[in-house]
Amino acid sequence: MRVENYSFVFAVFFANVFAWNPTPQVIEEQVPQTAFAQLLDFQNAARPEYNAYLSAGIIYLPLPSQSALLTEWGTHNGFAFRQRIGIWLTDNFDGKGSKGITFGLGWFGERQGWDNEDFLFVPNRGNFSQINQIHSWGLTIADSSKHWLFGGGLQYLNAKDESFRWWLLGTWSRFSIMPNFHKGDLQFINAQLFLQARELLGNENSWQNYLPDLEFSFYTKDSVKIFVSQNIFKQKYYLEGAFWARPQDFAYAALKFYPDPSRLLLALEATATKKDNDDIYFGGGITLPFLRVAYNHADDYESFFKSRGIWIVEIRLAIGSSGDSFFALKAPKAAPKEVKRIPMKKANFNSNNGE
Amino acid sequence: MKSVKFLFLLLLGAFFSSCTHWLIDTETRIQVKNSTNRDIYELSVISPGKRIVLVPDTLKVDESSNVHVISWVGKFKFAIFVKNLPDSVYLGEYELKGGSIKAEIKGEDMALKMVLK
Repeated sequence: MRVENYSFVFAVFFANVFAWNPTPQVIEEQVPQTAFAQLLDFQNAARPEYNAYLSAGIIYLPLPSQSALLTEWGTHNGFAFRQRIGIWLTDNFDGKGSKGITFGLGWFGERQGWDNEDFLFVPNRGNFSQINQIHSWGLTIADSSKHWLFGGGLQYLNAKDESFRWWLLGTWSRFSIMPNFHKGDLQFINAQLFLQARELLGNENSWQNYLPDLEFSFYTKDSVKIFVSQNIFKQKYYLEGAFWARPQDFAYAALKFYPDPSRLLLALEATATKKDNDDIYFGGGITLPFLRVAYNHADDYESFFKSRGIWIVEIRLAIGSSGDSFFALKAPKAAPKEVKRIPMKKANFNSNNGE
Repeated sequence: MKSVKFLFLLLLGAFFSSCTHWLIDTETRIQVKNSTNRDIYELSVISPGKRIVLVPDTLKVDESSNVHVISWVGKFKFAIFVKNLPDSVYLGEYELKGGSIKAEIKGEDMALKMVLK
């Protein structure tokens, strides 16, 4: 490759990098939003039939001008970041144990915000740095043969103030409900009705593959969000949408293509997202097992400080296991098993013709 | 050709190990020079109704301040006090790119500007 081509790659990669600036307010408002998304991940990862789930992700923007912080003083060069990890393990995590009751233990943690220097482990914590943490811990008990799972745990948020929340989880077959509380006050209830038949959960391949997955998030009486995921073709093409039922509003729509229904190897996504100022903008992304590259993606608008107009590169991983099969979150089918190798005879160079 | 590839990989490595602050300055070392016809003091960054003093030194005509290390890199609005004037004089919006900067305050009376070198 010639030098000019490298510069072209860089030009494309860093084009349009000045379109967005996080503000201290947006960074703070992100915390409850992430707290919600984190428990949703827990709800999707801890299913009665599953054994383990592991996820990690680091969003890192290499240039300090890409995510300059906008304050009343001006724009500060620095780095918006997001680092997360999620682990859920049952006592049958290798899938070789008995099929009876299993106990599980989970920790989902995230560190996000803005720092004036970039870092992997120890932030610089400059004058305008804002580093928030959100952690969820939980215990689960499940019976995979009867398709039920119960769980409960704590969630820790530190933004401006520290606060603890607690949550419960009940899943039975295709239905799941998860309420979240702060002291005695209900924060939200997330109810899932995953009607789509999933081979992974022991459902048969049938017309039920084309039933939708529905999700209802009740924040308050007047704030209800609905999420729909509809299989369009062979559980490889999906149409997704998120809407506010109250107040009536559109959040985002997405067309997703998973060449492999396990969703583990590759995902191509195109999204249309509604911004606060009623503009709709289009974006998309490509997800590989260890890397995600996205531009204007709906997920990043929701989970990364309303970012738009920048390329997001995330070093990531998300893998669940059930028995001896692997898959990604919400996938309908397991990844194909390892291809069997045909044993080859080793050439014997030391053969002695005389013998 | 190989060396270009190596350099490219090295840069990529530096990027993804989160160490661009080894290559890019995240602080500014600033020295102020008074090239006006009056004494000036307290070079500040301002926002509506507030100020943060970056260089507290009082500078006589043609005098230079000490070097101050500040963690301000980016684009900010600046103002400075002129002796015997009750309010500060607005200098404008300037970009501090990090590293060593010499800020020369120029102009006469209240029409001041800053030249960054």
